[in-house]
Amino acid sequence: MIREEVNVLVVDDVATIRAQVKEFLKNAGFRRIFLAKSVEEAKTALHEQIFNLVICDWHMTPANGLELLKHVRSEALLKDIPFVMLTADSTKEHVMEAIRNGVDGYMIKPVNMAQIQTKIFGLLLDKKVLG
Amino acid sequence: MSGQSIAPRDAKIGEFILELGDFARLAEEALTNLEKDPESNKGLFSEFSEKMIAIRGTAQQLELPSIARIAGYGEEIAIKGSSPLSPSQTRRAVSCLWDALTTVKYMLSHPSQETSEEQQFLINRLEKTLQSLGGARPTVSGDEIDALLAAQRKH
Repeated sequence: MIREEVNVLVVDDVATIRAQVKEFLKNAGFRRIFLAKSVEEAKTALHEQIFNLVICDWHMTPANGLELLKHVRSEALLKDIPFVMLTADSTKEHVMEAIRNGVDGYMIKPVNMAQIQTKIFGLLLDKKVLG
Repeated sequence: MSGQSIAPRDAKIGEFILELGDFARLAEEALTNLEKDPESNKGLFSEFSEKMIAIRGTAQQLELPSIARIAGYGEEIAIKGSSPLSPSQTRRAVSCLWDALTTVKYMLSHPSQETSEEQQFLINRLEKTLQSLGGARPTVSGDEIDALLAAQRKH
């Protein structure tokens, strides 16, 4: 698969962040970028089409990013999707909790274009999503 | 790389201020109810903290470090507030959270005034309060997270 074919789901309750991450991803060559402003919206999207990557904020209400991670990992059709947490929360307790629940990447805000490129490409190559 | 233009930072800050104004209002509601009855409404400390982390994360992303720093103190003091505290500690925490929120709201509407001597006084006060409540939660760096993830992959 090439990057233009990768379906990316970005989940964040702050529109400013969704727009900026989308812009970074577009500039990195991704074309199929879908946005969700809540975990509920994300779950609906995940069951409506196939995604190759989820980039998700942690702190959202009513459900948070960890709950979405657990949902993804518990569903047979979703469990192998690379999942990256993108959050301002760098508390050790939460990082460990995300890792225990199978997160593939954990990026701390602020992130820039170069970090998005390095981390996301690295992960997608590692997971053999990109060939 | 595509040739898509990057939106001007000022425009992004404008959107952020509009959007985060709503977060600040929700935080204010939580704090108002906390002040009325801190013991019965302890759960609202977590709600306040969630709003502060949203403001902090977005401010960090948009390179507004003073707003991010004060929101970060608000987040940590609110987390401490949700743990068992004496009534006087709770009152002190709520009072500090009002100061933090008022300052964040002011800075959201005056983003060009990112630093001032008054803000530094506030930051000192927030730092002292946070230390008196046990200090901030331990955090890890990006490199440490990468090492933890790599270790997890080996298992």
